[in-house]
Amino acid sequence: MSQIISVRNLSKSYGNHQVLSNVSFDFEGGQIIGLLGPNGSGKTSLIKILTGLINDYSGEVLIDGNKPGKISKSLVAFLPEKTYLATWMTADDAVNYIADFYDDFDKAKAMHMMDVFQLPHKQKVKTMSKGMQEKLQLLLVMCRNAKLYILDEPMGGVDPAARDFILETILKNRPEGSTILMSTHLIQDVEEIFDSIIMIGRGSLLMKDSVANITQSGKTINDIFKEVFSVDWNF
Amino acid sequence: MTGTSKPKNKFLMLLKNDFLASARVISLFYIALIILFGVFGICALLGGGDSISAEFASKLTTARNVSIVLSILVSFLLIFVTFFFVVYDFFKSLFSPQGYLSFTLPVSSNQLLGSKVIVYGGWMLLSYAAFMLTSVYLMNYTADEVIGMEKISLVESLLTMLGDFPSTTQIIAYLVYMVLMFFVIFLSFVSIVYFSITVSHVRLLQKHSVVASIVIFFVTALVFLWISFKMTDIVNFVMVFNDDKTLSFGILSPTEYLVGNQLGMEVTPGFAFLVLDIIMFFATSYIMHKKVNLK
Repeated sequence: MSQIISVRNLSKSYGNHQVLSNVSFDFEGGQIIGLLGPNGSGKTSLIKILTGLINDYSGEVLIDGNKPGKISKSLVAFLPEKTYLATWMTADDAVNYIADFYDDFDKAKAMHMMDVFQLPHKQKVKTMSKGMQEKLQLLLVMCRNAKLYILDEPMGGVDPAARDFILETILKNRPEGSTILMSTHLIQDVEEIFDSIIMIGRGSLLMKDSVANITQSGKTINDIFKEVFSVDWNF
Repeated sequence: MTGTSKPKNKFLMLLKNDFLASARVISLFYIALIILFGVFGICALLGGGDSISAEFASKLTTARNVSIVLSILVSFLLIFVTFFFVVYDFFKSLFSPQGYLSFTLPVSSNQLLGSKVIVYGGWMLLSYAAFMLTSVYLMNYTADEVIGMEKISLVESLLTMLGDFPSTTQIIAYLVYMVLMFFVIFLSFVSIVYFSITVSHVRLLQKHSVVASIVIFFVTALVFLWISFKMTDIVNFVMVFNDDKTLSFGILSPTEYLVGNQLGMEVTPGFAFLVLDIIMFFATSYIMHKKVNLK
């Protein structure tokens, strides 16, 4: 299988502050990858580079063989941490908007999921609760038949019941053969779904391995995470 | 794939969605203008009849005058609302969290920017045209009764400027020149606004983006004017309306064509602005692609 993500000697700095330093890794398609690291580790910068939001970096980044740009953006379904929909839009407007730009978007499925999620079609985003907005964004992402799903903290700031709902929605609607790259702090809640993980700390790649290899010793990913990053907290 | 849609032209989709995003508010002003014109038309039509009472005629006159004042007011507001949307939509859709959606669409930054320039440049031109036409038409219509003047004609004023009745070619050339100049001016305005907002969102200026964008706007506008003056000094390309009702083009100084009391329209400033707009477009697009940092 070809590499869905290929990163070579990736570095990125903001002025004198280095956020990614000579990071290299590859992933084959069809996996669920956990992107793990504490706050300020460089996860968000890496995600911004992979999704084409940041373009001034050194090194090489390829998404299914394409540099971040128009083609790669048509292959990637991105769920940012922020609410990115225009507040004047209704749920239907948002679905039509995404359908206009992504040829792989399944509009019929989106309309059906809106009913399942109990999202009123004509309700404006600005009058929706945060939970409803998150459901709508999740729906818009998971109704694409994308090759790569990049999900930035999809369960950040939601209650445990909502976490289960989000996780179930992602797993149920993920097309066969697609890849998911998910950044999260909540390792315990999701570690069983990962096939591989990548750990980043202070801008450097600290670990990249399959979950099968990591857990051979009997440790959980959460244990490994604590071991790897405990040095950051031991003064 | 089941249920997926056919491939669409992404640039057309950008134009469509930028238009829809702006039309939801701007179009309300056009609807208000159409309604006021309707009221004005009905009042003018009924007021001309012989069978109406003096009291009713007086009410019609009041309604007509109110509709005239409101029409001019609404068309004037339209310019401000359009201006507000040029700034607001650009900032909101690209540099607020909405930017996470806009910048991950499968389009280039040239297309993102081009769509906004076309849609908002078009709205600016249309809003200005609506204001001018509303003002000229209504003032012209009511000049006799309201101001007590002889009917003022815009065309007559232009003819007075030209000294003698011009040829059809000259009138067409004049109108084309005016439309193109307004188009270039609005394009320049939009491109300077977009450049200022974009530059103010690079990491270095991000903390003070509002102040930075205002300062950059005025500095860039001054640079535009300075370059156009300099270019005009070097090569003053002029379209001259000759006495023999013909048009001629040439590189002339104002003293050369004013000696013969001829009307000359300077082409160089418009051309300079157009070239600067193109440079500004690609500079903005580059900064947007390479240097902008979304929070």
